[in-house]
Amino acid sequence: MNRSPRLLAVLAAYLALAALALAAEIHEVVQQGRAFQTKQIEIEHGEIIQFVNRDPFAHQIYVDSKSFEFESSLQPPDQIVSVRFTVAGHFQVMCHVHPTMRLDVTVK
Amino acid sequence: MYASLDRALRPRLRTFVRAVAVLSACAGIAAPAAAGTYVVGNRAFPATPLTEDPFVADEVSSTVSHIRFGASGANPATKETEFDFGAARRLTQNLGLSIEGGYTIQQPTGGSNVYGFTNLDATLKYQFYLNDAHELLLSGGVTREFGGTGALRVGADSVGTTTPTIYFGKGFGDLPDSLAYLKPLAVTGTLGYQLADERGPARPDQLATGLSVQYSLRYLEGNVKYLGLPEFINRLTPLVEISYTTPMTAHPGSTTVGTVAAGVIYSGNRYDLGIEGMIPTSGQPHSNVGVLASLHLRLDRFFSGPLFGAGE
Repeated sequence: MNRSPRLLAVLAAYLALAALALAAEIHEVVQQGRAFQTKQIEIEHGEIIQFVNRDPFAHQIYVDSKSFEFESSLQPPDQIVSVRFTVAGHFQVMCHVHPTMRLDVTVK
Repeated sequence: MYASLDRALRPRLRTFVRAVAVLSACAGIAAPAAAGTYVVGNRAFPATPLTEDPFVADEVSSTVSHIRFGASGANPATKETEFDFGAARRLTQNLGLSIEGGYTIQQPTGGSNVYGFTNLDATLKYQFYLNDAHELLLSGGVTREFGGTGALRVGADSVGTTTPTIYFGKGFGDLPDSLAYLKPLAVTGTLGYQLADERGPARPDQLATGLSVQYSLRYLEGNVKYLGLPEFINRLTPLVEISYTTPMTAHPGSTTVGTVAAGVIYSGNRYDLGIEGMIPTSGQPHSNVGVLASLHLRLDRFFSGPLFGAGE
């Protein structure tokens, strides 16, 4: 009988977290002409960057730092890759397919 | 494999490992190393199994080859397996030092197996020209083979050599759009002149050439047209390689020796894994097809840049 209030509390916490996640701002960065159309961006901790491939060929997204790593598979044309930056710091987003592509991300 | 080696060979193996460690330490690396994917513009050249790479890098590499030579004259048919290990470290952004050594096992039909190290090589290489727009890379270097560091019984020469070499890499991403499907093509190659330490009958001077022709499926998917190939497939680079050495000074019994190899390289994010079938094309009659496999592991995770000066 004591389990119901605890279950409700857990459920409420879960819903609160979900609401926070949904409320997190989403930033869009377009990949076009073998380049990120945004060269640098500043976001808050926990926010999301959506990478939109507007080229007729494939891209890819990766972040390789000691505190934060991300590696997407090949990203077909028009596909969106979302990356949530969960750690504060300065990061470089790059593309294995186009090694000259760079986006500087500052996460506060 | 180490445990199965003959006891008499173990001290030599230890000596070899120590020599590699000392040379590696001199080059600023903690473990054996060689080359990896190198970027010029939108082109990423993978490390090739047979042809010496035109770029400098921080990496370790290992190559295994196995080939069966048919009986010829008084020589019985022989299976030969060779393990090569290399280490490379950038001294500056464009200057690199590498060392390489190997171990050979020869298994003649009806005879006793013969084991031994090959001679140690060291190469100093300098990238003197990069053109991103034309995906062009040119380097020059000198390879020193230390004669007598390997075992005579497996054919290691007691006479050393010095080989000045020109290296090149060229991608064809600058072709017109009407030839779009040829843009993933690239070539790499070497042209070297091997000078023996002792002129005369000991060892001839030789012209050493190498060429690779490669087609990058990742370049196709990412720069020409997206075909929706599976992830594994789009990391492959099919290639053909050719290697020749031709004696340039008189030497009894010396002849042009060539090898043609064809296969594929799988490029991971920090390594290139290549496998090829190889066919000796001259100077080695009655030979059968052999197999060549190589692994080049990049060490950029462990080094923030070259030993001296800033990296990119």
